[in-house]
Amino acid sequence: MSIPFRNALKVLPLMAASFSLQAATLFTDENAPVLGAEPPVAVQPAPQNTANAQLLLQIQQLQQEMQMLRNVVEQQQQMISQLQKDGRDRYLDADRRLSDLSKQVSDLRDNKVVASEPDDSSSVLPVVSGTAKEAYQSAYALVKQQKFDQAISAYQGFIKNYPDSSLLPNAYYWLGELYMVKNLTQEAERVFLTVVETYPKSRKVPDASYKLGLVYARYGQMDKAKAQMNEVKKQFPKSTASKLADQFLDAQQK
Amino acid sequence: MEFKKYSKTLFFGATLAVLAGCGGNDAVTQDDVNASTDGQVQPVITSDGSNGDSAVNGEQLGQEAQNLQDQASSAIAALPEVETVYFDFDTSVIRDDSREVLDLHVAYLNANPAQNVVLEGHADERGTREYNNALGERRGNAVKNYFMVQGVSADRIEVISYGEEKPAVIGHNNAAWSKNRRVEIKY
Amino acid sequence: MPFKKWIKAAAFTLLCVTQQAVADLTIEITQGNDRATPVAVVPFAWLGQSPLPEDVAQIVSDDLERSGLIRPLSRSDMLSLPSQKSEIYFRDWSLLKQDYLLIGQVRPSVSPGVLTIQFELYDVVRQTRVLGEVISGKVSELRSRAHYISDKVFEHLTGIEGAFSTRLAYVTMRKDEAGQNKYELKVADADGRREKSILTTYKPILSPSWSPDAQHLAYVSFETGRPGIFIQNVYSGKRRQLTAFKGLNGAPSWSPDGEKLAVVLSKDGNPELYVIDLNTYKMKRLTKHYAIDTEPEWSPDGERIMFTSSRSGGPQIYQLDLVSGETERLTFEGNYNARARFSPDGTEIYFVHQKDGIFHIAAQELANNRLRILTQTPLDESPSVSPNGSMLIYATQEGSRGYLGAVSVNGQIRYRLPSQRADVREPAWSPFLTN
Repeated sequence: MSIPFRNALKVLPLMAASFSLQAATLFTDENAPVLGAEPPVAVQPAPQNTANAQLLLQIQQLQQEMQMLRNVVEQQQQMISQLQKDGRDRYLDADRRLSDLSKQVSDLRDNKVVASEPDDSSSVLPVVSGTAKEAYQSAYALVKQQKFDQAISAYQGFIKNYPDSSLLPNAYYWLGELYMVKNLTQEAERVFLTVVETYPKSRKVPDASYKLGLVYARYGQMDKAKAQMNEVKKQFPKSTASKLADQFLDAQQK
Repeated sequence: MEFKKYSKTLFFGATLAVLAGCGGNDAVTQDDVNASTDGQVQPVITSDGSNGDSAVNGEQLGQEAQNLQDQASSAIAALPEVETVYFDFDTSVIRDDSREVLDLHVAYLNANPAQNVVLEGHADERGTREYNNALGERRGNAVKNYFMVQGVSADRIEVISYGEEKPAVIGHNNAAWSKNRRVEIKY
Repeated sequence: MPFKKWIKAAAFTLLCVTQQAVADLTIEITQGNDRATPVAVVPFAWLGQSPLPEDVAQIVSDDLERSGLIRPLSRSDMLSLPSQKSEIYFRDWSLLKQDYLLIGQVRPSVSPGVLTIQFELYDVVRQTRVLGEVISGKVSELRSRAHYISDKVFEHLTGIEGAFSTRLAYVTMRKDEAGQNKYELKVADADGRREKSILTTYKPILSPSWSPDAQHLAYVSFETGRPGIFIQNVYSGKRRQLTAFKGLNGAPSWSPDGEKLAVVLSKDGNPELYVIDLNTYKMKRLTKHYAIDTEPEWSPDGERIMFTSSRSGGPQIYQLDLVSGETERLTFEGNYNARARFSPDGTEIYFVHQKDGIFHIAAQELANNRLRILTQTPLDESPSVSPNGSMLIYATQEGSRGYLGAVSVNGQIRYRLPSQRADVREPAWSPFLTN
C-alpha cells in the first residue's frame, strides 16, 4: 500500500505540482538573499499570496461560468436538432398527404364510381389519421404479397389498435377474405357478419354479403347460399357484388 | 503480488512530481506543459532561468514574514478553532464566508512547516454515491488549491473524499444537509 | 374483475421452512397488475420419507407473484391438489377462473441425496399440457431448481425470459455492539433468500458491479482508509486490490466481454474515466475535463460508455462513442441526472433524476428522449436492471432506514425488499447465471 501510494503522490493535480515547487523551495531555502528590494516588488506591492488566492477564486468563477454557458449551448443544440427533426417530419407528413390527395383526385377522375377492388379503401375513405392509415396499408401490403398469416395478425392488430378508425369495416372485410383463404370458414362468417350488421353503411357491405353467400356454399347449405345471392342482387343491383352473385347463381344452374 | 507488479507499470513515468518537490526547474516546465493541455490555468509564476526562482522566492519569503507578523506570535502555535468549512448544494466553490477560516489555517500551516494536513471532503446524502464522492473530492481540492496558492506545498496536503458516507449530522432536511456539505481540515 | 380482493398491497412474507439463518431481506409486494394471468400452482407431491427442507411449489408461486404478471391462486382456494394429469378436473379450475395449472412431483432418485422433480403446466381452457420437464438436483439445490421452474413457466406465459435464477449483490450497514458502523457486501438470490456476506469491514463499501459471467464482483472499499477498487470471486471469496491511486478510485463497470473495467480515478487532479485492460493492466484515459466525470456504464454492444458529467454545471448523462471518440449529451430535462444504466437491449436508459428537489428513478427512451418517472419515494438512487430487462432494483429510504425497492420498467409493478436489521443500499442485479 505505502509504496504505490507514495508513488501516486507524484501524479498531482497540475496546479498543485507547480506550486509545490514554489513552496518547497521557499522552506528549504531560508538563507536565500532577499532580492525583494529589486523592481519586481516595488512594481507589485500587493502581497503575492493574496493575489494568488484572488486568481484562484476568479478561475473558479470562470469555470462555473463556462459550465453554465456550455449548458446553454448544449440545451440549444438539442432544441435545434429537435426543431429540425420536427420540421422534417412535418414536411414529410404534408408531402405524403398531398400526394395521397392528388392520387385520390386522379382516381376519382379515372373511375368516376369507385369499384370494390382490393385497394379502393385507401382512396375512397375520408380523413384517416396518418398512423392508422399506415397500419392499414402495411397490413394490406401483406395481402398483396400473399403473406396471409402475417396479414391476418396485422389486421387483427389494426382492429385492436384503432377501434375508432373509419377503416375498421374494411379491416374486418379483409380479415374475412384471409380466413376464407386459410379455410377458416366459421371465422370468416363471423367477421363478414360483423361488417354487414355493425357497419351497414360501409362500402364493404355488398362484398361482405356476397362473401357470406360463399360461406354458406362452403358449408354445403346451397339453398341458403342462393337465397343470400339473390338478396345481394336485390339490395345492391348495381354493384360488382351483384354481378358476382349472378355468376354464382349461373354456375349453380348448370 | 500480481497487483504490485501492476502498480509499478502504472506509476512508471510519474517521477516528475517528486522532482518538483525537490525544486528542479525541469519539473516546473514539464508541469506547465501538462497544465495548459489539461485546460487548467497556467501557474501564476513561471521560471525561465536559474535565478528566476530566487527572485520569486525572495518575494515570497518577504511576504511570509509579513504574514507572520500580522498573525502575532501567539497565533502561530495555536491550531485554528474552526476546522470545517461548508459548501452549497452540488458545488465546490469556496464561499466568501469560509475565507477567514481558511486564512487562519494557511497562517498556521505556514508557521509550522513540518505540519501536514488532511482535507476530508463530504457531500450530503442527496444524489448518487459516486457523484458525491467526486463532489467531496472537488471540495477538498478547492481548499487544497486555496492553501497552495498561499504558499502551503502540495506534498503537505492530502485530500480524501468520503462522499455521503460520513454525515456530520443525521437527518433528511436542509438543516442536516447544509451541515454535511463540508470539508474538514484535520491535522 | 375476479379476485379483486387479491389485488394491491397484498403484503406477504416469505416463511423460512428450514433452520437456516433467517434471511435478511423480506419481500413485500406493494403494487401488482390487474391483468395478471391467473395460475394455480398446486403443492408438489413428495413421494419420499423425511420431510423436504423446501416447499418447491411455494417458491415458484412466490417468484411468479413477484413478477406482477402472474397471479397465483391461494392454496386455501384450491378444491383439489392434483400431482398428475389423471387427477386433474379441469372444470374445477375453470370455475376458479384459472387460465393455467402447474402441478408436479418430487421423488427420491436412485442415487442417494438426489431428487427427481417433475413439473407440468396445463392450459385450463384447452385442457392440454403446454410445458413439462423432469429435472433433478440435490436436496440443497431445491431452491435453485424451483427458480428454474419459475423461469420456464414465466417464459412460457409471458414470452419474457425469466430472471428468477439470478442474484443480487448489495451493501448493508448497521451499528455493531460497540456502536461502530459495520459494512457488509452481500450476495443473495433474486428473491432475497440464501443471503451470504462476502466482505465485512468497518469502512464504507460502494458500487458493486457484476462481471458478465456473474462470477466476480468489482467494488470500491475504503478498508485501507482510502478508496480502492477490488475484484472478488463471489464463490471462492478470493480477491485482489486492483487500484490504489491517490484520490478517487471508484465506480467500476465491466465491459460486456469481461476483459476490461471502466473506472473513475482522480490521480491526474480531476475525476476522469479510465479503462483498465484486465489482461495487460494497461490503462487508457477516456475523459479530460476540469468538471466531474464519473459513473461509467458500458453499452450492451460495448461500443459506447455512458457516464455522469458536471461539465455543464449540474450532473447530466453523456455518452462517449468509443469508435468515433465523440461525446454526446443524452439528458436535458432537469438539473440533476446521474448514474445511468442501459436496458439489456440498449434502447432505454435508467437513471437518478431530480424533480422539484426530489430524487426519483427515471427511464428515457433513446430514440425519442421521452422521459418517464418510475418511482414515488423521495431519495431514490442506484438503479440496476434485471438481465431480462423487465425490473429495476434501486435503493431508497424510509425514515432513516435504507431499503431496496423494485419496480417494473413500465412502472406498473412494485415490491420492496426491506431488511429488519440493517440499512440496505447499492443493489446490483446479476447477469443471467451461466452454470
